[in-house]
Amino acid sequence: MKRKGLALLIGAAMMAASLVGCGGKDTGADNSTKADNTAKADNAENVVQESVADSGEVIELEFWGWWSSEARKPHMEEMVKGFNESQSKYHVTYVDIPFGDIFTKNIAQIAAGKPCDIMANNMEEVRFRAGQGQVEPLDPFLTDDVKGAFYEQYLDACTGEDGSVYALPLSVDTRAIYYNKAHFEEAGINPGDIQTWTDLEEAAIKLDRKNGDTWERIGFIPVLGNGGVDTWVINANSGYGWFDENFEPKVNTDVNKEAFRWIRAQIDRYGQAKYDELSAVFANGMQDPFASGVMSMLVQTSAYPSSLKQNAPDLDYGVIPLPEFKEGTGHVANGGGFVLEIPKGAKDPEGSYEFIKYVTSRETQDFLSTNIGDFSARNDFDDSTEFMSNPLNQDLSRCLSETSTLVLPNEVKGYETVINPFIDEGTLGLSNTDDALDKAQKALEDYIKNNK
Amino acid sequence: MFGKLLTKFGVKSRKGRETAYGYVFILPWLIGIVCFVLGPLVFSFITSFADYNMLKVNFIGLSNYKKMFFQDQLFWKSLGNTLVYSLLNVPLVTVGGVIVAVILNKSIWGLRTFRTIYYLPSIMVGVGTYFLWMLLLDPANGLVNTLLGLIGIKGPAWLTDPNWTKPAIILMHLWGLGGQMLLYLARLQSIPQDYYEAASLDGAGMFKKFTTITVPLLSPIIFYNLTIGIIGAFQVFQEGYIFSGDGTGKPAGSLLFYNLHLWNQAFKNFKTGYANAMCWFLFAIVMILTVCNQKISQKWVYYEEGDNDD
Repeated sequence: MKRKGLALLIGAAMMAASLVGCGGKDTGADNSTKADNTAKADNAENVVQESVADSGEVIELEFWGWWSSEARKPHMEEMVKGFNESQSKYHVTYVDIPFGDIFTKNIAQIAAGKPCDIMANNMEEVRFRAGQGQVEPLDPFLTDDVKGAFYEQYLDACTGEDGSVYALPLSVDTRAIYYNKAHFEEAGINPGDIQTWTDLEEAAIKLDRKNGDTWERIGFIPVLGNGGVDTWVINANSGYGWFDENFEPKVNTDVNKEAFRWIRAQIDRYGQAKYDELSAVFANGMQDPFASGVMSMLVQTSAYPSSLKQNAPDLDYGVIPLPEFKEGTGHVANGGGFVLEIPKGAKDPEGSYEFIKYVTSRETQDFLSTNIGDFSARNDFDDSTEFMSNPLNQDLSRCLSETSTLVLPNEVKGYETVINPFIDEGTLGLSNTDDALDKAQKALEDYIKNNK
Repeated sequence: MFGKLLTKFGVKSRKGRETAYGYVFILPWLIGIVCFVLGPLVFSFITSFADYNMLKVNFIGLSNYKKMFFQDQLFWKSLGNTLVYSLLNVPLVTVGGVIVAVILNKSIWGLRTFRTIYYLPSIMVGVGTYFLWMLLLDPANGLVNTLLGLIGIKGPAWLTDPNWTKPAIILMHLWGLGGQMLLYLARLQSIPQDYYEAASLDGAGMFKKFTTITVPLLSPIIFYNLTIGIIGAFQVFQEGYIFSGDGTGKPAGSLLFYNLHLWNQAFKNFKTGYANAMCWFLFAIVMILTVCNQKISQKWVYYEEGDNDD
């Protein structure tokens, strides 16, 4: 009996210790009492923060990003230092967390009620994160002059389905075709003449060089580098990819079938084995066939020049926009970017916003662009900035002006995992491209139906 | 101090006090299990019946399980990929481990060096190993296809052809069978040579001795490795995550393993309640297989002590 009592006593002590250990965790359940308590705690915390601020003490804020390389981190830290020196109320610390961990850590910290104060994140999913309740709205702090400083499409990508703005753009990117100037000169090609997909194919054929059965030089393969089938489908549809303007699935349209057949024909010119070989080279990241002169043209993002600067500093290259599918359909590329946002439950949203405003200001954006090479989403980021005085950046900027940043509704989130296997089958020559698109259309329709 | 507390609670006998001290000593571990294992386990089971995104909980009954079996287009595909991988990987690595251990149990020249070489890969873990294998499996310049080329075989596009991605991963795991080999080797060295000598006198050949002495005496270790191997195979994740580049299981979904699909649901789509339901289904599969393995083991696992009924 005594032993039983003892076991119970120790068991109770253990449970009590466990509950104490778990006490800080907020499951986020819709519980009004809990919400009230949280609100009271928040108010109390705000009061503490305000009194701290009033007393002249500096509020410590954490800024999470993943930039840890020597090429980027020192500039991020210099930018943070600039903010810290520009005012005396807040002190921001930059914390770099590996890209593979940062997003899971962020959500875990939000769930635990102890998030960082400013978080770098991707632009395409701001609306999704807002819908999930992971970010604070910026509306209480946002003024018209700040809102008006960004291109509409990027601010739209930062806006939730409820109409509130949840982030501000840190940097944006686009896709373009990089070409080897020496190869073009040798083949007698004027880059300005490449206006349509047909022109592109003709140029690629002129650039190809084969010795017996061995390909010595590859003119162009559209789905290598940073181009996918979706890149070309978005281009062919003037900005819309697998969906129409009403977000209805349009995977197996005649335009898409023609586009995919064209892609397949470009691969077939070199053979599946050559495509597999180059595809593996890009995947393992040990070589860059464009930098080494094996490929004459390559689709890449606007961030590619910083990589070439390191890997092939002597390479003479230029940039052309993605050509038009047919005359008049537009040189549209798909792009995205990164934003700064305030995770839900951050201790001082006003301070976080002050930092975001500083980073997205024209001066700081110019500093970041000049040193890191990223493009800004600001509409006053014109040729007068140091960064834009570089002709290559001017060319890329023109591509940026025709970039689609289509943000899809939250209910289709994750659709790529359903359709991509079928698209892969077409790209890898395992099935006919028309059949691949038909199967992908069916899969997408089922996915939307199942997620309603 | 604690003695006085026990006296206060009426624990006076020596045995009672020893029991109390026993519990106190294991208390940190018990707290650890309750807080970090049992607690999350119960929480994940409860939220498997909810629309849970790590911030909000909304109970929806069996909907997650219904969706898993009847609506999720990738559920069966990911389970199929995992099953195929497990069916190929577990037997091959187990048989490979036994064969290598038997060879390295012989007195051959450079024995210690070979043992070290075979064991070395099993201590090389982490993402670096996967990137190393991406280079080894490069279709044009990789070491694997270069070696195959020397014997006149044109190697496949290991990681870009969906038909070859799973064999590529299995090849990588065969490279790392040193851990299993070490366990077999330890057991092999404890088998008395008398058994083999007696068998030789009775006219048994190499194969007969292997099947009637070596395998039965190794069977407890084989059983252990099989059990651990099956559990590990169903948890395959990193290979799909890293080799597919973007975590979508490409090419053509051939590397979309169960745990990768589960991870995508939890941390990309934030359908954490659904991911928890998937976790519990995986737990059920692994538990059933382990129990079956345990039951079947009574037919083929030989314990020297004669205790074959456990």
